[in-house]
Amino acid sequence: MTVKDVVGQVEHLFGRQPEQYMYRLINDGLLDISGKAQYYSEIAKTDLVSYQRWYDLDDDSVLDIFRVEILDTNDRYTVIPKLADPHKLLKGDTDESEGSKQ
Amino acid sequence: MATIKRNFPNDYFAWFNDDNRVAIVSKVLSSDIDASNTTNDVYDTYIGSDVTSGIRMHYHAKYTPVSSLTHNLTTNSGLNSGLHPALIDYVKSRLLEDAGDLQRASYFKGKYEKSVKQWPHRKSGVRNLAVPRL
Repeated sequence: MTVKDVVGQVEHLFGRQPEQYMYRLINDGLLDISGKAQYYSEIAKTDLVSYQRWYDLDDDSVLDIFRVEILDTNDRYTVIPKLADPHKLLKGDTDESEGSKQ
Repeated sequence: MATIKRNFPNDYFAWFNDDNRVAIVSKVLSSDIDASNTTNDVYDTYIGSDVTSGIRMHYHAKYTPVSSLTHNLTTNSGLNSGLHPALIDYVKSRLLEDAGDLQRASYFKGKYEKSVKQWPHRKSGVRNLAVPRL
């Protein structure tokens, strides 16, 4: 189904509506559905960089991460565990030191 | 000989995240500890060679916003066709809400909420077969 089909169905009941207004309502609906029913997942790759702890996420598309993998030496991605309580485990991490990049 | 942590990443690497960043850390081995670069902690920032596309993340994503009439909701936005009627109900409810017709708006809002809540209609799992006892 295209946006035109949605607009057509709605206009059948409510008459002609401004195009930009319809886009805004459809986008609000998409955002609401993605928050309520998290069935849409995507995959993103980024470089593993030495001395870099934090990697920025795309705020426009990421809702929550559920799996992270590292490329092993056989060129296969291997799942790595999530730390349940990083603040307890990472006392005195190197983020603020001279030797590490933020 | 230094251990290559990427031989068995799940033994050495771990991740966690805050609101807009993900952190990759690796276990600190005795061979890693020196005065300048790391701490004597369980996990610390990865130190080793850079790896192109070395991290792969799976995440629940927002649907791609629409910007033209020809935009396909399934192929361009990622919205499953089973949820298209729910989206139409949402738009109708918002239109009625903006027009001040709250009674009809709540009808479509209810329909929308129900459709999204019940999605997916068919769940994978054990299915019963009606096998006649002979």
